[in-house]
Amino acid sequence: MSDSKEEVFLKNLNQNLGIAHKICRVYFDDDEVRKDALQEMVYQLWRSFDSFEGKSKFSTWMYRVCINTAIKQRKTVSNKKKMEVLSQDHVQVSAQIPDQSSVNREEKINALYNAILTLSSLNKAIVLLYLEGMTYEEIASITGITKSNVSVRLVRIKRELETKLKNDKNF
Amino acid sequence: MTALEELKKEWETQPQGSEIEEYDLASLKQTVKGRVQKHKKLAIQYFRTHLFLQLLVYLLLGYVIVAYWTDTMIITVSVVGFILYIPFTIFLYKRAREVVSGNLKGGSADSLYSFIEQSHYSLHHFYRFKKLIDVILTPPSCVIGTYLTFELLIPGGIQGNIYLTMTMFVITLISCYASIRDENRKKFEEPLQQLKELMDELLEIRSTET
Repeated sequence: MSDSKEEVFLKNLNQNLGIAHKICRVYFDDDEVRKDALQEMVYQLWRSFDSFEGKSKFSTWMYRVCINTAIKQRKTVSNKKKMEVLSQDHVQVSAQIPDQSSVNREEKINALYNAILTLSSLNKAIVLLYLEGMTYEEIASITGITKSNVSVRLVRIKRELETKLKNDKNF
Repeated sequence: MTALEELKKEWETQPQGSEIEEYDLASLKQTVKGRVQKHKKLAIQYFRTHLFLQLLVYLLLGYVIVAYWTDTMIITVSVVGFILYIPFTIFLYKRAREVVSGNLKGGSADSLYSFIEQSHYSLHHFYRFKKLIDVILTPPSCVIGTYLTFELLIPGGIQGNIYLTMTMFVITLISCYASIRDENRKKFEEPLQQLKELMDELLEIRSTET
């Protein structure tokens, strides 16, 4: 490991570390699993850093590696069970919507994270990239589907998320 | 403006670094070292049972050959056992090396579709080969094990205990297949199903392109 390579990697990693944290948060609902997944992402990024040729932005490359790592790490069976419970909770609290003024920003973001947790792996990736401000073209390149399909898919995901959020007590 | 678009604005202005612990050289080295150990440990755990079982088989067959080298039938059965197991051991050793080096070589920067397609292909390919080996290796192993047990350890041998031998063979075979089935379900069928669900979802989207 040469010093300059490490320095360049660490600089880029720390500037974009929020990406890995957000991906962990939307893919894993358990703190321990999230910590483990974050370490795995940093490790996979470091090991494949040589393949980063600078043709795309470091952040775009990081999204690709981290999303692929998250999907590899994901324990679908246990997550699915938890997600089902979470989805049911969202539906059950629909009658208890509090006064909008009492809802603060952090709670709204948390509610959004919880709603994203209930989506499928692919939809999680698409909506996360959308929320991160990526263009349809960039989302298409990361996911491997076409730009027009990203657009169609996002309409459905938005509708699904908005329904879940309306039913969330914190929103 | 929809609720999600409003939330997107909030999302984009989320604090990015204050609560996130940054990596320095020491923590990066520690993470890399920890993950290398973890991947190696996982690979060893995965193959340990199989390798240990094979070592036991070789030791047993080796002992039988040395101890009963004048008995042509016993020697023949033991040599057949060796021949059956050697390709499987080589295959397992190669696979263990692939798993370790594959996990250690670094994350894929392919598109999600390509990544899932490759992961599914690789796991499916290995599972198909493993199932073939299970089918080929398990019945002869049970025959050899039962034959040697009765001929060498049970008074009267197979001739004197024909029904007991048959029962023992059937029980051993059923136990082996039950254990293999359980292992296959946990290590192959469930992960393959998860990947297939994702593949189907992606294929469904791609099919609307045409």
